[in-house]
Amino acid sequence: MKELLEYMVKELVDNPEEVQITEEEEDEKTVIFKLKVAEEDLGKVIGKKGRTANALRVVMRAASAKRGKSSIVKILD
Amino acid sequence: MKDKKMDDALDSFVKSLEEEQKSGSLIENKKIKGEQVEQKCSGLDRIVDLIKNTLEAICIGEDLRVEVDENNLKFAVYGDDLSMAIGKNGKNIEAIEYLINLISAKKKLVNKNILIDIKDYRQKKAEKIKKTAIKLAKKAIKEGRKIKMQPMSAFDRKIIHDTLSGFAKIRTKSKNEEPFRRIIIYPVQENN
Repeated sequence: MKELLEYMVKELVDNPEEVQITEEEEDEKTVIFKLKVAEEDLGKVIGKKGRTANALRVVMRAASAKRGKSSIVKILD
Repeated sequence: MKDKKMDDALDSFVKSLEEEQKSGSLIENKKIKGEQVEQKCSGLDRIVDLIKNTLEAICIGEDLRVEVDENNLKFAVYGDDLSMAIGKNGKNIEAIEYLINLISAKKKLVNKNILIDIKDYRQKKAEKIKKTAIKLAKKAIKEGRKIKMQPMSAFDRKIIHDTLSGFAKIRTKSKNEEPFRRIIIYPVQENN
């Protein structure tokens, strides 16, 4: 699942080499993805009114629901 | 002097080309396994790859088939067990489509918005909306009063406006703000 998020974010940003994602298990059913990108790319992953960020969350939720889990995507600044 | 400038420009151009090739091959390497590596580099193929990789990651690699309609930029996906890729009221498919549109705009793969349909979900939904719209339009004419429809997305509202534009006895208008924006069907008074 982490690969999916990484794949999409790297296609979206201008500096793919600065994309960092850490995966943490909060409990058995919840995974937290912490996403770190270059400062000038923050707007790209968040989007107008957070639309891109929400779309990323929806896609990640779908991927994790298929595996019987829920996921949280946090964008660090 | 002049020649040197030309040389520099050429050098930088060749460099940028090389870099592009490198980044291209990086993406090729990143392909999730089980995918045939194709050498074609056109924008459409890249989009098909994007759709396949995304859906395979969401649905844990089912048999996927993507049909491309090059004129309308429609990508129809077929395969087993894709319900999770559609989501409630098509929420997931909309998110996937939005993200892939963003990427294709950024990489200039195609110069128009693309449409993604999974197992004809979109097409069926559009037909359903058209049917409802025509039914309600008839009701508005018969009862001579305005009829409010359910709140819908801009894409769905456009389908209704387009469908009902052929009816002379009614006109359609959208009211309220997103996400509660809805269509109201007014019967046209015949006395003027």
